[in-house]
Amino acid sequence: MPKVQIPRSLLASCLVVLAAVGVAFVLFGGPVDAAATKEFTTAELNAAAKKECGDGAIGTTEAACRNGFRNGYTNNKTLQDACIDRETPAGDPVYTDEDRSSCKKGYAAGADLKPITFSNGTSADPDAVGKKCGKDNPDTEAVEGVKTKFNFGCLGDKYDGDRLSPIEDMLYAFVRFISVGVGIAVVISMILAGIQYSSSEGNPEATQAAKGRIRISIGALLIYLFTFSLVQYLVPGGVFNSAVPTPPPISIEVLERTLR
Amino acid sequence: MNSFLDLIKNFAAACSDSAFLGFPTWYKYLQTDDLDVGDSTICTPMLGGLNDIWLVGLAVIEILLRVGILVAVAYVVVGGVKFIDARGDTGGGGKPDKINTAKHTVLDGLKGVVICVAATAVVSFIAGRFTQ
Repeated sequence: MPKVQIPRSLLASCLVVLAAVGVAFVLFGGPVDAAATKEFTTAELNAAAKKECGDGAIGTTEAACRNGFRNGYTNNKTLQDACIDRETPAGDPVYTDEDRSSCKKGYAAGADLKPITFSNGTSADPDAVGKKCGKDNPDTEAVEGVKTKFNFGCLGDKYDGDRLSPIEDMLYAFVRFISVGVGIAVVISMILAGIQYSSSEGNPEATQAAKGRIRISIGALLIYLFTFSLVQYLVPGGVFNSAVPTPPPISIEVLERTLR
Repeated sequence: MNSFLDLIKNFAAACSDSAFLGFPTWYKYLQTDDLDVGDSTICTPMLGGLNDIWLVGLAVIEILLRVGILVAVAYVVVGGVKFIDARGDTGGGGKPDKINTAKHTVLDGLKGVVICVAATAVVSFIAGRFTQ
């Protein structure tokens, strides 16, 4: 049976498409969270009706108003059915003309009450630090920033200069993200080397492998330091003059707490 | 991110500070929320932003430090047992040098833990200089 070979280019293009979909999903919120409508619960609706009409006892005009309000919001009954040709349930007082007009008023107010619509994500908290990439042009007041669903650590409006393009902002945010991670990655690598060293049991080859790992980790840190300095030198103003707080580097306290 | 957290919800129980074998939890630096679901609570770690991923990294470092210390202690004990088992056998005549092997097991175990702890201190010192 001949082996089926999948061309590498096909795999690569599949990966690219997947990555693009993922990025789009993170950026624009995806189909689920794009917009959500919250209907009022019964209790919330009753509270709103009481606020609109007052909380008089059953049989008063206020109760008729509340009844109209609820029907107006749910739209189960027409105005005619709810207030004028109302089928009176057993034990309930029959509506007077006063009740009817009060009910109509309530119905209109209830019909005006809209379910709360909020878009969960892109504009849920537009003022949150890092949720906006790029700074708007202060002269033309054109919106040039991009609101993101996920906090990438962008500077947004906190940027000192006049304007900042979203792509630039996000790029610097990624550079900052990676700079914080380099220290953590090197520490993890060195700790793994330490575990390797511990478990070498005096075997020279295993010891050498652990030493090699430490050497590579330190080399990586040094290369990063060099690149960091270069980037900081090349980018005007520097990438790291950040108003967005980054997680603190591993403190000595954490170390002490672990060793205790 | 919400669907990811929904996935976690199906596996996690209430948030706890201490965990398996005294290891800290991976989400210990993340903001967590105990959701009440009927008679039980569900621990939901929150990722507020991209940089929060490194908070998971910090917790992983703590877990690995503990693992490193445990491994070192285990190998010091193993080396001690080997020492006893060697009965002064320094090898010779083609036989393996048991005393030397035992000595190296103990010493390498100790060196390993020194590397773990020193790595955390040194790298956080160096990296802390330039990420601020």
